[in-house]
Amino acid sequence: MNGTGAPGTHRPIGPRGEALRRFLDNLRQVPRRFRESALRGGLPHTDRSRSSFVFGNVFLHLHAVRTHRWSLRWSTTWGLGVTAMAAFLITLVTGVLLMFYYKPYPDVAYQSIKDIHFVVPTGRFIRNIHRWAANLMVVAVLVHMARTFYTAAYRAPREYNWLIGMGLLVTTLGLSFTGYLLPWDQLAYWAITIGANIASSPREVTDALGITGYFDPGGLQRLLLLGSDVVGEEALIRFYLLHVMILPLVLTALAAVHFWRIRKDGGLVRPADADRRLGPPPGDVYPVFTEAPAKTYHLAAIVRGRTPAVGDGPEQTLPSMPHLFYAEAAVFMLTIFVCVGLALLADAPLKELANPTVPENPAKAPWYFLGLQELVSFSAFMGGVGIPTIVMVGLGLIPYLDREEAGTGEWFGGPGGGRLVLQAVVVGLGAAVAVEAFAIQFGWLREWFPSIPQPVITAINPGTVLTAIYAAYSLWLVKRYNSTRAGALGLFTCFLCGFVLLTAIGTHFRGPNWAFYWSPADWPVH
Amino acid sequence: MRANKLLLLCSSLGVLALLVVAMAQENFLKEWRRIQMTAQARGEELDSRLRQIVVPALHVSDRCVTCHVGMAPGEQGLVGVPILAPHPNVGHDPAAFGCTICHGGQGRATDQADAHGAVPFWPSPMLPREFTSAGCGSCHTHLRVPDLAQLRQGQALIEQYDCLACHRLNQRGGTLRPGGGGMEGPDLSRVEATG
Repeated sequence: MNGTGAPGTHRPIGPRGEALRRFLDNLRQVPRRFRESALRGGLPHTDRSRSSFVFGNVFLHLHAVRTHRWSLRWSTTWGLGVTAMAAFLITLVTGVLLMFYYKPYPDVAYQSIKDIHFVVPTGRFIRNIHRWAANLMVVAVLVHMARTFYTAAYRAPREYNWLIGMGLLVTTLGLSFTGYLLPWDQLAYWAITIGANIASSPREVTDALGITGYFDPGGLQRLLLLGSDVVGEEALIRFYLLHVMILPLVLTALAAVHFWRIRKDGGLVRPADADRRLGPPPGDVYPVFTEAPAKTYHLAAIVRGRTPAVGDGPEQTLPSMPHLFYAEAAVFMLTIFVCVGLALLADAPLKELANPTVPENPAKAPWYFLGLQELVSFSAFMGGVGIPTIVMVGLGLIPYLDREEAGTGEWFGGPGGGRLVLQAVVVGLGAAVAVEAFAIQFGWLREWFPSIPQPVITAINPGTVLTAIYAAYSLWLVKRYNSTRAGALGLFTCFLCGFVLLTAIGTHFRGPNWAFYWSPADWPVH
Repeated sequence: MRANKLLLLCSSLGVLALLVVAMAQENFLKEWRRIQMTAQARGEELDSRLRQIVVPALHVSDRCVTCHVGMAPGEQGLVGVPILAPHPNVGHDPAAFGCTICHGGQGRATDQADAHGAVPFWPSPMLPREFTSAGCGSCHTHLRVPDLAQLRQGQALIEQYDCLACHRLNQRGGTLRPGGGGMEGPDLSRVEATG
């Protein structure tokens, strides 16, 4: 007939039309097979299949498959870490949207912000969300740090993760600070000028020693930050690059390590007797280990050390999916709600176009640096470099100095507990108010002895006096309670109180020429 | 888990509600949309959108014509409705110069308070109506700029004596000499206009 049987031609496998039928059948099956291939075996419906789903998914695998019941209590974390991460993701998405319209060049930058505000569809809304999420992130990171501290979660084996967390705090502040310049308005311009001056503050010491001509770390820091002598287009493109690329990448990498270490360090911290406090597991859970194991196990030649779960049955844990994921999704959504709500209520600030010839008075750094600026007003070097370094070194050393075990995983755990923290709040706030009030009322060494050499003021100023009071109080606590943890509780609480109080003074009570005013309404009109 | 589920439900619904509010603000509650709708209600053939005059040479992007839609290039305008009226003929075409060059204010803004510029952090609000001619000096710095009354009088005199019979002035008037040789009288458009 038509050569179907001729040598070299393909013989149909089945009856005529079979291939077409199979083709149509396969076409019908595409959605199902796509779902199966993407989700590795379809949507999970049992605890067991959900566990293997979490295990097999690259994003979900950052979580353990099962989560301890203690970790799921709201009071364990108050969801602060997830809040910080959620705020970061919100700034990431809104930030990418803003990048479509933002132009990083002086004056043009300001006009592009005006355009985003006035004519870009939802531009004003997106920018407001970006701004509020960024502020929320700074607050969340600080409060998350306080939570970690007060539940003694930094203790072994989590010391290293505490340091990673400090890196995340610094990166968060860096992201906020670099974003502050981008609108190129008066607020941004003079805030960054203040920031750059803080960077050059080591000159206070090198000038006093007369070696600035040979050794000038302050000038180098300032030059690295601005790329020029003044805040100009070099600084803008530099801040832009840091803000949209380098720092987000650093933060993402650090956050990945941070989350991974939570798993590797045995999950979130919990008290040694958490199981007893939680009570017996739900009725439908049957025990796996009926007696304590006679020996410990480890995976020889694969990993070092004991696995943290040896001897522990899974009775007190719940599948991460759905229990943990609902908790995380709830916090994530709540964060979005707060950011969107604030974005509708208040616009992100935008003042006049930056004008290098008209300084703002007072020129103020972003709010989270106003505590530093208050210290800088006493001594640029101590406020800008000395005391921050002391604080960061102190915070970083805490987990290596506090090797106690009592109170791990409990709020305000350790000797003294909540009473001690309350006392430290009184001491911390009281000392800060007293030192500030004294300096505001009576002035300081320079007012009394105008010819006093600068190194004396660098060493003895309200900032260093306050730091010394805090340090002495903490040492006294160590002695009084015979516990390093007690000293750490006192020191950290004092640090928080000092930060809050100095920030409040810098924000609300400082006016033109950094003079003290009870209210911005009292500022002189010029 | 119940509490977390409930929190997730509530915050999701909350976000949804806020997004609806934002959507309404963005699409229905803008001042300029209301103004353009009034124009449409009065029978003006008008599509509802942002309008602007962009003059790169003068660094001008003026969205004033979003509300003052009668002054937008290509629109007719409604005589008798102040906000929708066409621009009076002053010799300068708004399409070529924009608005803020003469009037001041914030051309990039799209709501009245910000655009008229009497808001915090905007250094150059609109010139009051009676001082509009103070804006002439932003370009004509080298001229002794006459006040508006004198300018009107001069313009009237030019019409009265029919100067335009021979002279050309701002693209009007002037006659060509028969048999070539250019204009009958010199072009007066730029008299005293070059420093």
